[in-house]
Amino acid sequence: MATIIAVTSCATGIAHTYMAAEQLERTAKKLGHSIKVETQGAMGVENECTENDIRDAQYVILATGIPVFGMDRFKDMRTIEVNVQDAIRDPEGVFRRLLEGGTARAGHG
Amino acid sequence: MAKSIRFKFPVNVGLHARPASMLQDLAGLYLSEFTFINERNGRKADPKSIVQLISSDTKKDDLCVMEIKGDDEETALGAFEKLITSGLHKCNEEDSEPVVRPALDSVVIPRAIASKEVTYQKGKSAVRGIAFGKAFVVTAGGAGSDKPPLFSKDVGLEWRLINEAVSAVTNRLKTDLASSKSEVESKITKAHLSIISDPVFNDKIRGFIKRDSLTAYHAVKKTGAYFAETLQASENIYLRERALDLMALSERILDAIYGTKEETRGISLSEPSIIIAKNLPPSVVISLRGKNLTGIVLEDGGITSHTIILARSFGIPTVVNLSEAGRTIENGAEIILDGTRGLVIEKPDQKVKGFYLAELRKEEEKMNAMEKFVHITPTTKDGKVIEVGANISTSEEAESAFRQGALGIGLFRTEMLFVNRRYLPTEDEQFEAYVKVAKAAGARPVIIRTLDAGGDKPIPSLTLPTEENPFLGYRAVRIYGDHKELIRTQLRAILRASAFGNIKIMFPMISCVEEVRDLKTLISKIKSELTRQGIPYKEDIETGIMIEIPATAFIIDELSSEVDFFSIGTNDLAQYFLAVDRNNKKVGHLYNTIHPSFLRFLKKIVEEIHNCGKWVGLCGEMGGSIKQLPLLIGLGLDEISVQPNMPPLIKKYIASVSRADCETLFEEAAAKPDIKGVDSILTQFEYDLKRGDIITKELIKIGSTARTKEEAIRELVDILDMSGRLEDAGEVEDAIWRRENVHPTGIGFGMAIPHCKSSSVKQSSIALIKFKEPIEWKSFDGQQVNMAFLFAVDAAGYEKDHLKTLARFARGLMSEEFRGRLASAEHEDRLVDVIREFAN
Repeated sequence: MATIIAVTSCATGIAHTYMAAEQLERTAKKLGHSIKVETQGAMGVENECTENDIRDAQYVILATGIPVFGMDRFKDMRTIEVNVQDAIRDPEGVFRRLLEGGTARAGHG
Repeated sequence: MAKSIRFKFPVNVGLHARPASMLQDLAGLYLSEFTFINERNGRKADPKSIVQLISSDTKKDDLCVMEIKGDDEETALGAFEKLITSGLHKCNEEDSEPVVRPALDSVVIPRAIASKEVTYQKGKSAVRGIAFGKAFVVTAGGAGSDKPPLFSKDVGLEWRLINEAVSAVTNRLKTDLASSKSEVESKITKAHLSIISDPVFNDKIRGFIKRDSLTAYHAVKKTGAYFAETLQASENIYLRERALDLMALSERILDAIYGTKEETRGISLSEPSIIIAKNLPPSVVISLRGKNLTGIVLEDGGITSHTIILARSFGIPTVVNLSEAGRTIENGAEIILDGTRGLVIEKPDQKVKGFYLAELRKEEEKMNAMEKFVHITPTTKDGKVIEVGANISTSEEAESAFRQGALGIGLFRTEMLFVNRRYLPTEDEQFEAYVKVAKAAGARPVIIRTLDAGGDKPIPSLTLPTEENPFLGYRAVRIYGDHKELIRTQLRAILRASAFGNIKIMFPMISCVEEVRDLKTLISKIKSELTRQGIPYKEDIETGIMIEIPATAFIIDELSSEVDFFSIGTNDLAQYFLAVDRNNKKVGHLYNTIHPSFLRFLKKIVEEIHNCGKWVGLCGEMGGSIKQLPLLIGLGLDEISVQPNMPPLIKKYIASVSRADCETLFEEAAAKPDIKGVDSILTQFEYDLKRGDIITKELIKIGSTARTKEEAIRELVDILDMSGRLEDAGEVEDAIWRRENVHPTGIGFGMAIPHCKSSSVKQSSIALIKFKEPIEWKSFDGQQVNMAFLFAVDAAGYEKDHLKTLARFARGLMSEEFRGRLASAEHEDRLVDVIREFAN
């Protein structure tokens, strides 16, 4: 059971951003992980990851098509960057790659 | 003893045809000699010659002098002063020439024709619309080797030729004028008549013949060139384009001399055709109208010439500025003219034809959509009926106003019968004009306003004094006392006409009850007279007054005992109320009909009038402002009278709002402390009104026969376009493709969600089509697509909740259950329900 935070964002920001978020949330639940997904879309930043969220998290998933705001929040954390499309069509694959690879944050599992 | 006056030329576009004819008309009324001098460039002109005036190249703010010498120089000077201070300003406010549209260089080329196989040329859009037809190329130049020599040995012959030609063309122009079907045509023909009868123009031609022994052909050519050159050298685009008219007239004269060599004469089109020429005289457009002329392509670039004005008023799509068109487009070839984007497409294939046929269909549907509002009774959503009338200045406008669904004439301005003429109109002349409108109206009411002259509406046939402050001076009813014969004649004519329809009389500029009583006494006298003479009239004819002078607002009670109705003239009322001359550049910005104080004032007026049980309409320009319309509806007016082409739009608006909402809006607006406050709630109201459901049955199509992604996207865009949710379908389609090219929007599961954000989207929407046959979409899972959803979002991002709905919908698509329900729903209603259930 991992604690994960994610950020999704996409060019137009009205569909894929949220579909990716939905897929990540569903899959996390299915696989028994806890996840908080921040969306950066046409409505702006929603469900923003707070300092606490970041402190408690072990992994970061960045599913983006465009540069993400506040990238430096996640430095030194075990991160995986994927395409929004990947998050939508193969979310399980994303989790697998995350848990197998990803840069780890010093001091965390 | 001569008189002279120095002034700054006030017309924005310079001394072009319209102000020139005003000067010419004025000069023609007096015996004195006039000389116009432009101090900036030293040019002199005889105002009796419109051509000389135009050639003076007078620009706005040029210092000019008008010298007047003669027996009636005093009166002439007075009249001229009035013309400068108020008459010429009319040219600035009224749209006498069409607005020059900025070059549409950033036109989006539709995908359907952006491919390599399609040959098209891009010019400038002059008249919007799509035309199909065979190219009819008019060869330029005409009489090549047949041109007559420069010099003639027989001056007598040339003289005869020119006289005959000028006389023939003049007669033809007169015939055109008599049979002209529209005011636009008349204006142009009149302008040509004016040039051809101009003494300076004629003298120049004859000078070349007599003095220089030139042949008539060259004399005309040189004369045309001489004046055209002066005009073309002007920095003013309007003057430059007038040169085209001059050249056109010259060609016409040449044609009259040399018969059939003129290539544009005697054209007859045997099948729907698009004419391609260097330029066309207006006469050709007139003669070919409705006779297979579907479109026009001109090599020359002007877009304000009379030919274009005519084409626009006849709805003939036109593209200009295609300098090689005549040489590169094959005569007889099938072409498509896209007047909206300025394109001419040669040898269109099925795809392109299909695209434009669809465009044509869309245009027709849009026009039909407005059609259905033309004849409805304007009723608000909560059942309140508001009359929508038209304001007209001439009897000719009446018919067209009724065709556009006007329920009555809220204001018939009678000044046009009196201006620009030497003598006052006779009783019979007036009677005929009034009867014409009454008959066109049938049972509908026609409110005729008695003469409102003086101030900014000078009447040459009346010697009205020059005033310091005409706006607060001797005008309208105030002059009736000194001009008894004038008002008597007008009232007699109106009363006689009242036997033929539902006519009502209205008096302008009333400030006190006494004025009304005097006029009613006069009407009584006239009625007795007519009865004695056995002339029929409407006994119980209604009388009313304009509310323009603020003082009337507080004597409504007293006035109600004297009159049957009131009409609010917001233009003048607001000016007097706010102490602003809206035409004064320095203070014009203070004129604003949504000033909260003015709104409270209007409320008082309408309430008082209704308390006295009388009818109140509004005939000022405020009625034509869609943004302010809800305020007028909330105000509780019985009628709103607008420009003759606006009724369908106003009716449509009335049907889209509830009176209760408008009343609430009005109360809020009137309570605001400043104009900005009022403006912001009007903007919000407008926005809330436009906002509809994100998806409706109309936006869903099941069983689409689209076979490619392109066709599918086209169809989705069209669905939104037809429901009025898009500003520019082309831009939206483009935005969708830009997104699509980043990464195909197939999400698997047989679905695709093309989407875009664009300022051309008026309301965020979802459109949906289910295909009969699955389509290739290049989805990641390699599967084809059965269903495509278009998400179109308005770029302004006003609609946060629509975005939320879309986001929720997008998330929902990740659920197998939801997808299943969408796939299995077989009817549009069911689909809307499924989507709404989910989204809410």
